[in-house]
This record gives sequence, structure tokens and C-alpha cells, in this order.
Amino acid sequence: MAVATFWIILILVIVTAFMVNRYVKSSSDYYVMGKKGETIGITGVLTASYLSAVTFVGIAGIEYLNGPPIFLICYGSWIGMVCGFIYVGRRLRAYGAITMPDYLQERFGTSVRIIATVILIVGLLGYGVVQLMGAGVLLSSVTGISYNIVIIVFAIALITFCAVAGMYSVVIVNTLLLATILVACFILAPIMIKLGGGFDGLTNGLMNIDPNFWSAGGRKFHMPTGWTVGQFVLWALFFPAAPWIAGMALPCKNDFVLMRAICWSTLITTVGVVTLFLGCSAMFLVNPNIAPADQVFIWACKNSVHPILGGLGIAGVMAAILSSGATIFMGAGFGLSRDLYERYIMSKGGTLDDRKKIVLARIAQVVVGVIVVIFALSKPLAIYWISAWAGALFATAWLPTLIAGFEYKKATRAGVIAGMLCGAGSYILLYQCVKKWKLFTLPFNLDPVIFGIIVSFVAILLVSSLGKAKEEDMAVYTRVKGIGLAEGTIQTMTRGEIVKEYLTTKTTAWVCIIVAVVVLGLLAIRIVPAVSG
Amino acid sequence: MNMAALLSFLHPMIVMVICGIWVLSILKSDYSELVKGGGGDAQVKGDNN
Repeated sequence: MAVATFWIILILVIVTAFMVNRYVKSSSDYYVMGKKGETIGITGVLTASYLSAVTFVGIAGIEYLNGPPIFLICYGSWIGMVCGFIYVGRRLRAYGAITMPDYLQERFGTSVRIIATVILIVGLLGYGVVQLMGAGVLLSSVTGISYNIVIIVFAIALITFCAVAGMYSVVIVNTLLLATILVACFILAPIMIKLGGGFDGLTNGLMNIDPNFWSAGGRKFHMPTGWTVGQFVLWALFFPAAPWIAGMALPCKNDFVLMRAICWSTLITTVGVVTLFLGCSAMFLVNPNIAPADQVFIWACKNSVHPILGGLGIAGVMAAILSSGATIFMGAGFGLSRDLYERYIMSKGGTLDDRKKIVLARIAQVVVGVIVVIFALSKPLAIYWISAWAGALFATAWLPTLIAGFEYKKATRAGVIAGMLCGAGSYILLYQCVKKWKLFTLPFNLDPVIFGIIVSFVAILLVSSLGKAKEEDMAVYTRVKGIGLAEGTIQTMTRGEIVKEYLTTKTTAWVCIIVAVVVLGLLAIRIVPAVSG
Repeated sequence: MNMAALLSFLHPMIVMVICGIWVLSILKSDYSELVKGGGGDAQVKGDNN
């Protein structure tokens, strides 16, 4: 079943990519789907990118061993996704950016853009290697296929589907894959809860084994409050600058699509993740000896449900890995082709027609894929360090730079460069001192990323105050600030279309709020009193 | 009251409410005047033709 699912998903992905290739007529189509993304596609790509292997494998295992609250309380990536899409993504889209570094080029010039792009590519490559290696270990153990073959085949599928049609294939394939993720969250997870004894199992069953199953620190890990707060802040600040979140706002057809997509994605990810984690915790009552624990969801798919449903569940896990991997590969490839090479050619007075730009972007995808595969196969020691820092690089280097660009008129080029380098540098140094060399601990067990972000902001303010921002940079700030974020949408739609879209979006927002309040409220009413004193 | 259990459900619920209210506030600040028939200086596609 698992082997068949593995090959079916990979073939489906590659075939779909070639089928949508005919829609790619220009580099804009390749990079941002010609800005024609509809609500369903953007919801699909955003949700599928958000739900990665970490959700279905790593954290699912922690929930199984520790109970639901340990991660449901500190899952800051929910609010991080909302801020990343509405605050960062909406601005980048309104400013006409094709990629995230586009904005920095306009706001702060070439040197800032180059440093930011290099950090972006290093971070994405590190994150991509981790995802691919995780996929290799997991799928190898599930299918029985050797690690090296899984890595190579998986990477070929990823490279193919990213390179062939760029954003088009990523949006369409991820939307198709979302169906399997929905099955995993909304059909399989409730079945897992039922197998564990339903609400009675989740409450009395778990509490009878150990009351710490419903504690913030967890039954097994007993994490301190500082860790919970630190994790929340870490995820809440990491996601707003993550290119696979904010970057998904760029292909939106208009502002209304953007707003509806974030509403649906937030609804699916909040209710879906809660259900999934309750299901994984309930599996402790079915089998408390699943090893390794992080394969609890895979174990349930293989042993507890009908093979077809189980196959769909495993497909959901593969879909989560593929979709996150694809958006990461794509981000790194776009950075290499558009933000470094294309801009370099143009700065030398050269020109590139649209066909050459697409070819260049495809070559960049292959280069990124080959680099990631070499790292994933050779597993050099350095990659473990890079991967540990990868996610935090976006929070410490990119987030303060973006906020300074949006909100701080007097931010200087030297200031933001100092912010990026000091933020990333101080984080890496602190991470090594605290987590690797164990030289000291941070107050309240807070994550080093929080200090890295503070250092970055201080460096931006301090260095900017010592110099004077260039007139051209402040002019860009003023011009960009003057652009109403809704202006682009208003100018491309008739009044009748705006009224229709306005009402649909308003209804969507209310429906999502009501569904979340009702579903999560009912769960709280049913569970909280039963696990309280 | 088990606060950890309560927060487990309250946290995602609050995030969805924040997201929804943020979207509703954007609709109100950027589009409601236009929808009601005003629109100030905003120029819609039809006005360009």
C-alpha cells in the first residue's frame, strides 16, 4: 500500500506539472502565475505549504507522548501565517514585487538585496535539505525502499514539478494534494480519536494514565513555561518572514482573493491541526508502544483503518512533504535566477527576453535540486548546523529588515545591513553557546532567536541613527507608503465586480469565524471540564 | 479550571477571530466607501473607460 501510494503520488505530480506547462507563456506566468491565482488555488498552496512533515511526523510524535496542550498552546505559526500573509504578503503584492527581494531592491538598493538574497538562499537550501532528508528517512522506513533511491526519486519529482511550470505547477499540484491532507485531518484524525475511546478516552482515559497528559509542559517532557513562551514567539516571528508563506500572496489575482485565501487557510490549519493532534494523542490509548513515536500517524494509517483510507493518509503525509519541499525549492531557485543572475546581467547593461528568463529560472531549479540532493546523500556535518539555523535566519535577518522597510522612513542601507548581519550572527553565536557547547542557559529557557531579533532591531535603529538615509530611499518609502494597498485591485475591477467580491469576502470571513468558534468552542466545552480538577 | 486545556482550544479560536476581524477591517477601511457608492478619489476600472 505504502509503496503504491509513493509511486502514484510522484507520477501524479509529474504528469500534472507537464499538463499545466502550456499555461506558462511569460516569466510572470512562471514566477507568479501571471498574478491570476484564484481563491481555491492560493488556499491550496498556502495550506499545503504550511502543513509540512514537521506537523504530521515530528510534532505529531511529541503530541502522542505528551498530550494535546504541549504544542496547541505554543503553535505560534498560526498567527505567524496570518501576519506573514496579510501584513507582509499583501504589502509585497501591492508594491508589484515578483519575488521578496524585489521589494528590498527598490527600497534599499543592490547591496541590501544581494545580502538578503544570499541569506534567503542559504536558509532555504538548509531548510530544503532537512525536509528532503526527513522525507528520505520517513519514506524509506514506510516503503522499504532504500534511503538513497527515495532521495533521488523524490528530488527528481520535486525538480521536475518546480522547473516545468514554476508557480503554476506548484499552485495546481499543491491544491490537488491538499485533498489528501484534508482526508488526513478531517477523516483519519477523527477515526483515531474514536479508536482511542472518543472524548471519554481523550479525557478520562488519558487522565487516568497520567494527569500531565493535559498539562502545558507535557507528560514526558515536562517543559518549563519559558520554553512554551519561547516556542510561541519563535514560530510567531519566524513565519511572517518565511518566503513560502508571504511569497504565496504574490500570485493572488486581487486583494479579495488574498483575503479569502488566508481566511480559509487559517480555518483549515487551526481546526485541522487541533483535530490531528487530538487524534495522535488518542493513539496512546490504542498502542502506547509505537516506536519511533514520530511515526504515530503512519502507524495508524497502516494498522488501524481500511487500507484505502490508510493509503490516503500516507498520501497526505507525502503531500505535506512534497508541497513544503516544492515551495522551498522554488524560493531558492527564484532567488538564484531572478534576484541574483537576472539582476546581475541587467546591471551590466545586458538584456534578457522572456523566453531566456524562463530557461534561466528552470536551470536554477535544477541547480538548486542537484545541490540539495548532494547534501542529502552525503549528509556532511555542516548541514546539521546550517539546518538548525536555517529557519531562524528568516526571523533574525529578514523580518526586522522588512518591518524597517515598511515602517521606518529613516532606515539607512548601512542600518539594515547591520541589522541582518548582527541578527543572524548573534543568533548563530548564541545557538552554538547555548545549545551546542552548553556554555550557559538563557533566562526562562527562551530561544536564542528572540535575542537575535532584538539585536537585529537595535542594530537597525542604532546604525541608522548614526547616518542619514538616502533621499532616493526615503522617496521610495513615501511613494510606497502612499500606494493604497487596495489601489491595484480597485483600478482593475468595475464597481459591480468590487461589490460582488466585497460581499463574498465579507461572508467568507464571517463563516470562517463562526465555524472556528463553534467547532473549537464545542471541543472546549466537551473536554476542558472533564480534565479540570 | 485546567488552563492548559482551555488555552489549547482558545488559542486557535482567537487566531481565527483575529484573522477574520483583520480581513473585515480591511474591507471596511479600503472598500466599504466604494461599495456604498462613494469612493472619494478611488478610480475603478469602469471610470477609466
